[in-house]
Amino acid sequence: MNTKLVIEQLTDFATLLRLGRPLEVIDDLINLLTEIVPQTIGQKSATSYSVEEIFSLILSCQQAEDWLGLADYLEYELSDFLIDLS
Amino acid sequence: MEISQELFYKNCLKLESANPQLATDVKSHFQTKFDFRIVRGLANTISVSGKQLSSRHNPKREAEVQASFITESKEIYLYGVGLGYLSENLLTRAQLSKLNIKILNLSLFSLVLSLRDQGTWISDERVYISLASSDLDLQTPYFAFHPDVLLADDRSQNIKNLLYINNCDHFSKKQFKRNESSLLKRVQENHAYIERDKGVEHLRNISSTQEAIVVGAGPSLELNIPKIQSYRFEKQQPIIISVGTASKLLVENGIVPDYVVIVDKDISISHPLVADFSKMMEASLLYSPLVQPDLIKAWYGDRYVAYSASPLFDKVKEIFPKGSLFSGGSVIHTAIDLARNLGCKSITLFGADFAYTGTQTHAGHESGTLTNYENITPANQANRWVKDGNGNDIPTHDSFISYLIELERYIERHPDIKFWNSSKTGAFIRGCNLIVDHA
Repeated sequence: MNTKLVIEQLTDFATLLRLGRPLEVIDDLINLLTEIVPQTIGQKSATSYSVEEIFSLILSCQQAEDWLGLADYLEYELSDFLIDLS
Repeated sequence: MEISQELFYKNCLKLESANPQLATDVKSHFQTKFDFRIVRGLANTISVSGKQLSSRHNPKREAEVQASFITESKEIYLYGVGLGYLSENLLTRAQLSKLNIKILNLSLFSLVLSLRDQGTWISDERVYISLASSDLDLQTPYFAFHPDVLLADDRSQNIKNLLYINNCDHFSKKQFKRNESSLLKRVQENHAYIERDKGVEHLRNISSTQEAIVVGAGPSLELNIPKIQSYRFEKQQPIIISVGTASKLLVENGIVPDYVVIVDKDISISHPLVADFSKMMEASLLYSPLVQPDLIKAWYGDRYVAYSASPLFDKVKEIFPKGSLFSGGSVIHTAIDLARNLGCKSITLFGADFAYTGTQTHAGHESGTLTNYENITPANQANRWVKDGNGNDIPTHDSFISYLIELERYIERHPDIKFWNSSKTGAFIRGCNLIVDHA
């Protein structure tokens, strides 16, 4: 996994979510997460969340249409987790 | 961050100078019960009905990002306020002379006023703050806070729906570009039919009656079939135009439409809601160059082709010049525009619901997944609503809202035509009178 590239993508998704354009994000985000999950599940990072918790919170945000909450998880919690792993 | 009555009245005092009536309205909504909680991160925000109103980590940075996508303009409209960070950011622009804030939910605004000091932007003399519900249309350039849109109150439903469809339009245009090559290939595959068949211009003003019935596939059609049957006994029978997916129910009830309209590239002859073509031999087909070639080939009666204003047809229009009909995202728009093209001045809609009835999206369809409805939120999980003819909220989804608004705009553009709706159980359609009280 190219962490720098993944984080750039997560930041781009977060930007679109902050602009209120979730339709443009969801499919591509699911594809990216599907790619990341097998490489991160079970791995430990020094950040306060486990990756399982982050994915579960991302899913909850998506279901609740909490797009700014989701943007935060992508841009902060998930990105921090990936940086810490690399 | 916590609810503070003192802060609320301090903000209200400033609001009184900006808009005294709004300040009075806001006070009457203070402490409306709201499902909200404080969310703590690197900074704080609130979450209302599960939706954060701003970033919990860096709301100022978030406002910078949002502002960077808002054009440099002397006048800007904001729908919703979030927690006020974006207003503050935009007011740092020296060239901005007017910032119009449109409130989408008074109770939510009242909550925001009791949580954070909004004085800086409210008391800026360039700010004009008012209720979005008093507007008929969107003003531009604008930025809409998505959480505020999702939490818009009942009175702001019209503006909320307009904001939705603009959002969906933006997405559709991107999707359309992604699919463009496969769509052009489909048009190419249909060249032989397009060349051979007459264009819709051959149907201009040929109707012997000014009355048309346009039949969509919404669930209310089931209840209203007897009404369509009863037109048979009228001296001057109306023209019946059906969308493809309403044709099976009509034919099963002994009604053969005069025209069947199919524009969807994914509708096949085996679609469960499309009648067997051999049972509609007297009917004419009006099709888009995007439909499946097999479907065109299998039609027994007369065929007419119609383009739309989509740039996708620019090249083929040059090769085979033919007429166009309006397209607003749904086949119902094309069917209605066919009635206008035929010269009809009174158009009665059946099954034009733009919403679910119970769990149904289509008349005559109880279970199973329909083509193009694979990813549509089921009715019991829907989180979009429109008003029905009785003023009740009924579940729907974004695409249906978009079709409804396009239809309302179309009706507004054609004041010479009377539009009627046969049902109160579907979405209320602005500009469309109801023909009955009970269905």
